[in-house]
Amino acid sequence: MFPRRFYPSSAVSLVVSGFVVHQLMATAIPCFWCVPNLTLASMVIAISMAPHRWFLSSILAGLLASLWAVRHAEVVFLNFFVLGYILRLLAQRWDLTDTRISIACCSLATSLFCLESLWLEGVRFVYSLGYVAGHIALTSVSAFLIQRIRSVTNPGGVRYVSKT
Amino acid sequence: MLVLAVALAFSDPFRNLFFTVLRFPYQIAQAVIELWVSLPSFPSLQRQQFELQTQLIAAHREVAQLRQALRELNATRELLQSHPGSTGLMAKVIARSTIPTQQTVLLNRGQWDDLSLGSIVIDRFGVVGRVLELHAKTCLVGLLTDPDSRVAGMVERSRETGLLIGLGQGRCQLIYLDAQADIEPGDSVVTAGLGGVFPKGLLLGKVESLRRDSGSGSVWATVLPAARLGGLEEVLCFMPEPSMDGQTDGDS
Repeated sequence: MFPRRFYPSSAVSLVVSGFVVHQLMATAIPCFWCVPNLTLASMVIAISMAPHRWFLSSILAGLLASLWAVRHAEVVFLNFFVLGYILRLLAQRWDLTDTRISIACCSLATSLFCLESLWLEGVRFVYSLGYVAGHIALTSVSAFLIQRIRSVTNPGGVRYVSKT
Repeated sequence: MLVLAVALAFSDPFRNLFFTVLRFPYQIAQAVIELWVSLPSFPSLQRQQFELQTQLIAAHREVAQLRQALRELNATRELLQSHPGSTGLMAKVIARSTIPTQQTVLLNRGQWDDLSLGSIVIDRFGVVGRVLELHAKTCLVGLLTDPDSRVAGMVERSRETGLLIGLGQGRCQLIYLDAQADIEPGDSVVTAGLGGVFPKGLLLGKVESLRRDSGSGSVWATVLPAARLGGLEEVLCFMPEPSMDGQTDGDS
């Protein structure tokens, strides 16, 4: 029905739609920390679905995320790229399609991203950790929801079955 | 391929193109969100209209009083040869940053609208921030709460000066105050006008709490920004005033 690259559950469409929803939520929600990092969550789920497409997914997510960076744009991009590479390595040993593992990866990556950006920005207040914890929780919940939606739209875990 | 992709993504033409193209979807998305948010308030519109009419009458009376005060203020300004009047440019906030530690908003005005880098952005309540990145039809504004924001501030009541820095979480902090600084919760903090970037007297926020360290003899004040940074819609952009001596070290 669709060409391979336009199949709705493909890695690219998942990352792009994650970024679009992330953008919409950021515009609608007043508090910056209360917006889950859907770009990251969708990238983790996309790579867990298709580890062989880690390069495309991580490059795309990194580029989209770094568009909003007014400082340390290269660090934001590298974060996503390195995370994609690590997920690809993990996928060789573990089954990343397992919800628990993908959510754990997402939580760990979000916490590392947040702590790194706080350190880079020179924000060293203990109560910042509260915001970070909330942000991690929201991102983890959103990763779980994306995983559930993906399992509904792609039952049986069929990966990129071309309809052409 | 990686180097090429990174170079392409960080290049100005690509970012210009991206934000210019996305300007229209952002505006449409914002209109949909505004409509969705305002739907529950439709039944109470009549009551709100009555209240607004009452407020309008009160506002008219207040405007008449303020006009009188303004005449007096203008006369004083001329005597003191204070800041010359500036013209502003209205802009609409069309998107917000997805990076929590880089608190910026996207405006629908840019270089083609004669906006310049470092322009001051205010709303009707107070200072919002400054233009950090300029594109053809859009610009990115760093908010007061952004961790990189630095503005020379002054307590309006006691004229104590300090540096207002962003904390990255909806609050700012006024630092470099004297140990015996006359400052209390509830005091208004305004721009000090040091460095010549921000004009003197723009409202930054109100002091929320104080922390005194007797050991180091320092005082830190947590300041709640006056501008509604969480619900910005329309803002006014001012060109930065040129410094008399070219120094801009007070505000950055």
